[in-house]
Amino acid sequence: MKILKLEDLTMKFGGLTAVGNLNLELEEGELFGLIGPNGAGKTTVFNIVTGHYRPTSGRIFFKDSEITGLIPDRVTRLGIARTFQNIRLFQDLTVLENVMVAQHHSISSGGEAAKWLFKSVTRFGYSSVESKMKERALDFLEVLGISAMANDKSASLPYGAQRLLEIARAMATGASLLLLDEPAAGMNPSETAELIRTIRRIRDDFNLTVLLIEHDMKLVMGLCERIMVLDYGRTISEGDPSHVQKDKKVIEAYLGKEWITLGN
Amino acid sequence: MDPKTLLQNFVNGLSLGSLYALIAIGYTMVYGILRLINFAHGDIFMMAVYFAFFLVTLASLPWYFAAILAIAGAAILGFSVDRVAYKPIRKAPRISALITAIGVSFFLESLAVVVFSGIPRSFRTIFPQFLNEMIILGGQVETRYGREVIVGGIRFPIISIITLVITAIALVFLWWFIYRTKIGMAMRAVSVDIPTTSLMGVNVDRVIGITFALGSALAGIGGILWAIRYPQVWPYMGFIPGMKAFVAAVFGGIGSIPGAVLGGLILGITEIMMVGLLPGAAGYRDAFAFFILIIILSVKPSGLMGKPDIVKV
Amino acid sequence: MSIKNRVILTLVAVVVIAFGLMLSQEFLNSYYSRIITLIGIYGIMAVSLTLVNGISGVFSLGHAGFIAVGAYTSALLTLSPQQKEMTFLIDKLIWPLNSIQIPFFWATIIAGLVAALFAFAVGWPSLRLSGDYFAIATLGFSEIIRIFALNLNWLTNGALGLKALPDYTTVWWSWGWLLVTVACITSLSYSSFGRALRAIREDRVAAQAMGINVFKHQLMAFVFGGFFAGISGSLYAHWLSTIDPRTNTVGILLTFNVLIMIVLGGLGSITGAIIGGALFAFLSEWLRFLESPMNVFGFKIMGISGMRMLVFSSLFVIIMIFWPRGIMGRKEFTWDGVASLFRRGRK
Repeated sequence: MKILKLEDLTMKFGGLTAVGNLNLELEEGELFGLIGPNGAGKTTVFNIVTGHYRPTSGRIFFKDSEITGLIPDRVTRLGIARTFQNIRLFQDLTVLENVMVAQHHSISSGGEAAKWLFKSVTRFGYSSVESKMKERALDFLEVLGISAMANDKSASLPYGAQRLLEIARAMATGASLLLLDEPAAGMNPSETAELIRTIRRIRDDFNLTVLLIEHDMKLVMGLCERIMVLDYGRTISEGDPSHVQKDKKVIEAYLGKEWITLGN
Repeated sequence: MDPKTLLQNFVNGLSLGSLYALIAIGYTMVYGILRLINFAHGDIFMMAVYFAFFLVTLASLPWYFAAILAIAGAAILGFSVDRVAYKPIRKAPRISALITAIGVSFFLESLAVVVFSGIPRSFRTIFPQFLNEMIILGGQVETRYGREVIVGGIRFPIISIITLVITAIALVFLWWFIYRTKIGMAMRAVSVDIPTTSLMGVNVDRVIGITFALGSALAGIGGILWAIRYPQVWPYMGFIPGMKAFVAAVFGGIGSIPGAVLGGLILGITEIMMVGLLPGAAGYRDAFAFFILIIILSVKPSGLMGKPDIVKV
Repeated sequence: MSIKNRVILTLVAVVVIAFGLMLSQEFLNSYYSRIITLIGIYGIMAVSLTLVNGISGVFSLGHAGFIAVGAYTSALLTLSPQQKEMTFLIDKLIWPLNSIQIPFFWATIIAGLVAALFAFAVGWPSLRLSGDYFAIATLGFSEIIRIFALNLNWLTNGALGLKALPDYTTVWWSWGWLLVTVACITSLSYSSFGRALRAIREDRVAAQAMGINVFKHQLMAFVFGGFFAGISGSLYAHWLSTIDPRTNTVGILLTFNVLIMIVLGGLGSITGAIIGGALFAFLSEWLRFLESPMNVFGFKIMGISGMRMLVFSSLFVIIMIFWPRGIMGRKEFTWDGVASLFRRGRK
């Protein structure tokens, strides 16, 4: 069973085709990279998978059931979580609260919601739930190495830590598939190396599948087992890192035709 | 309803609708540029009426002079409201701007209560000659409160004809202003993208101020025409017409001037039709506009001529 | 600070406040003791609106509508059949309302439930809309409610309204319900549900991405706030002894007054809402002098009616421009906060 399957995915905004006939299959437990020049449509793919956009045509399957057109919170509850290219933490909440809120859906979905409203108000049988959420949240923070700042306002964290918090938050939703959008943006080489180790570790320890968008080639080549390259919304190359590195089409997309004709 | 009454109601609705249209244009222009619902717009309409009233009664100015000054006063007031209350919070979240707009609205209303007193006044005798000096079109002319033109048994109050004509002139003027002048182009640019427009060297604040002034002037015109037709003048007179004009603007597609006019006309016609068809429901005529609002916002929030927003993540 | 200590401190505070209320009823003249009662009512209005406008981050302008629903519901239930017979002059009140009469406490609860029902009906279509439109939609609904109240002679007595309501609202009822309101909404605010609401307020898209159904949560908060608005309406009606569909009583003016309270106190703070409510009540009374004849340097100046509203609205605009956080900002009163004040003093 492929954990994620994108079938002929197309996204048009008026006359602009942001994503064109994309086909992608993700194995469970894979570390998969989605790369390409700016504007290639990578984040758009994320937005479609997570339900923020409805694709113009094509279908999406998660663990063999179709999720095309589901609303974003439904998609997350099914087990897909994401981080954002422009960090979108809950600024007024603390680091710990950011991670705790990601667990909220597990107690409040469906018909449970009204019941939990009353429990929250009357505090009947509630405190154990709350302390469990807190413990779990602290665990996630520790895995990402940011538990020391648990009670600080999330907006006060340094940039790199904010990115790690986004990952912790996504994990806390209980997802089995993580979509990471430029997790290494703004990180220096040693932080990036640490991130590679961390992502590998969480994939192993938590049985996750990771699909990430990145521009930092060190991370992509060092971490990803398979890579897909997009340009103008279409797939121009796919395969393991060494194959993609040598693919002429990829080089052309990033560096332009002249680079090739100059005999490179 | 027999065809003659139907047609009469249609005509009445058209004239009421054009009043709504004049006010709706101001709402839509400001929203198009600032994404702000200027709650105070209806109150500027009210202020213009008071200006005209006191210019005639206290300053003994002739009606045409008073009207022009009142409209200019409305424009200046609109401009000032933006400068004083909205400009300082341009960068604040939109909710803050909305709350502030409500505050300004109440401020103007309570100011009117304090300065002009809350006692309703009558606009009836303010512009009498105005109506007498009109050209008489074919058909009988009956003298009642307002002069009317009766064509084929259907009454066209002079004031209605004037309102329609003025609305048409306003539309033409606006079209010329927005599409044929530099400032108009600046306004269009600001409504699309403020930061880039200011980088292009446009004084965005001035453009926004002019937009307010223009919209407020139209509201002033609408106010005076309204007061001639419904002569009761009191500090809260702007609330309901303002809300209805807003509904009209949303109905037509907020941000679109032709949409605002279309929305205003349709709203006026349907309101009169509703009262005509269901006389027992006359007390609910104001609620009718709100119902329309809820329905539009639920079914097609972008209105008749508006474009839906796509949110980028 | 341990939970035990916090609970003890809170209980002590409640006892102290209760004692203070008792003193106020004993020693203040009836005019001022009524103001104290009114503060309790304003507090409930403000705290319930804070849940919606402050914590959930939507902007409702319809609060007066739910207060009105609560007021009318409760009044119709507490008036005796004979009184209803006398009051309903235009049209007779429909059955079964014309023949029942129930105690104040239950009437208040039912008022809250009916208001909550209305809040559900209003919230369901409105919460799908974006911020500005939601505000206007709630305003529209609030006006629709008022216009219906004005016209349904067989239910609300139309423009005549309901007069001579028994003044059941004592300081104990109003502050008692205030305690309940604050307890419920504080409890909600500090729970996972409250966290989710704040997350939605901070970043709606991110909240969705975390699996939170934004619409459902906002609707629940809206209904919950509506319930307490209804409660406040019942208390308000039996404090005023009259309820009518004029704009000043249950129209947009009332919504605006509550808005002033929460903006003044700090949008998003429950403590702030109560402070705002109290300040509004005090200022309203203190500023009355502006509207009555005054003696200035031996000259008699006629008061200007409507001056108070002018002062409030100017204050409102000034606060929004220069001090939008209000008194408390988003912070709450906590025992830990008080303790830290003492600790700083000791150094």
